Amino acid sequence: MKQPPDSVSDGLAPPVPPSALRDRTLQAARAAMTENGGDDIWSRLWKSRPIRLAWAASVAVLLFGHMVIGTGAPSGPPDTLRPVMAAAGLRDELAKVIDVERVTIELPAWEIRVSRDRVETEPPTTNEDQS
Amino acid sequence: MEAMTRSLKPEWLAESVSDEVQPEEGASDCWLTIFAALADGRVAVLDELYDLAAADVYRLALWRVGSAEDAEDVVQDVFVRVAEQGHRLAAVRRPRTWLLTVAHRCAVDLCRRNRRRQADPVEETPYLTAPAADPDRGIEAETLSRLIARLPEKQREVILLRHFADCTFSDIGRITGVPTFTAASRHRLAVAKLRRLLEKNHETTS
Repeated sequence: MKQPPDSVSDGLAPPVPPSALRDRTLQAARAAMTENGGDDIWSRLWKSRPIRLAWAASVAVLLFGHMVIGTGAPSGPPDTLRPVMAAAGLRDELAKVIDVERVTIELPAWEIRVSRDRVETEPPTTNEDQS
Repeated sequence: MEAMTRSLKPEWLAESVSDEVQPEEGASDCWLTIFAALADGRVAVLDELYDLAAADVYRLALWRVGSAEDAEDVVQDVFVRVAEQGHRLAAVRRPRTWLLTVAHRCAVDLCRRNRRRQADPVEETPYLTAPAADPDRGIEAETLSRLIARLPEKQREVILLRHFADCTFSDIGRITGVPTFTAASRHRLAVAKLRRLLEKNHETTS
């Protein structure tokens, strides 16, 4: 008489995949590998028709934008003023104004007032006082 | 009846949660060799990968989706995805865990689609089968399969990975995308629930 097994692990186990699945799976995997597997990302991008169209559209938009911007009015003063400005040295002056470093100190109003009062109340120093 | 109850009680129901299964080094080298060959574009190696991994992938899919037909679809999907990876497979450090992760994600995707189309109940899915040499245990296998079907799919998945795929809780966490502690917690809950179901089943049959 057969003795009952002690536990599930003595014999019961999850099922194995059906044998027909092997050929079907390997066939699909081989096809996928042949089609995509050996390519790098650029090759796959190039092979994709939607991505190619998107790339062509973006290039066309860039060219169109470049042409529109290129034919528009240039920035800065009008061409008729440029020789006058150059003769008067205004360009250098404008450049100096632009290059000035602006230092901003944020002080509360009361501190500005106190420091201003201190300047007014301090006696002026003279050479006699120093001696 | 006591013998019957004993035979239906899996030994892993009493196993400690803290036990960790250590993967074999040789097996890992084999996986890495196969992945390196696939990364080189050797199509013939797909056969070796199938022989090595198909059972684990199929079982994981079956226990997750609860349908043999859907599990076959998952296996096919997984191998196609692997084949599409190409040279990127060379960068995979833990091939078996990575493959099971892909299988888990494919199975989850399929579960979501199945929920949308109101899938059939999974009570009759054979989660466990009797060995060919011992067909008398078919009733035990059916009984346990019915009980396993009543577990939540996440807990079912952890039981399979832990006890039939020899994964550590750390690996289970990587595969299922949860922290190690969560994987261990799911395992503990699954074992407790299965134990209650077994006791209830024993009471009703006796």
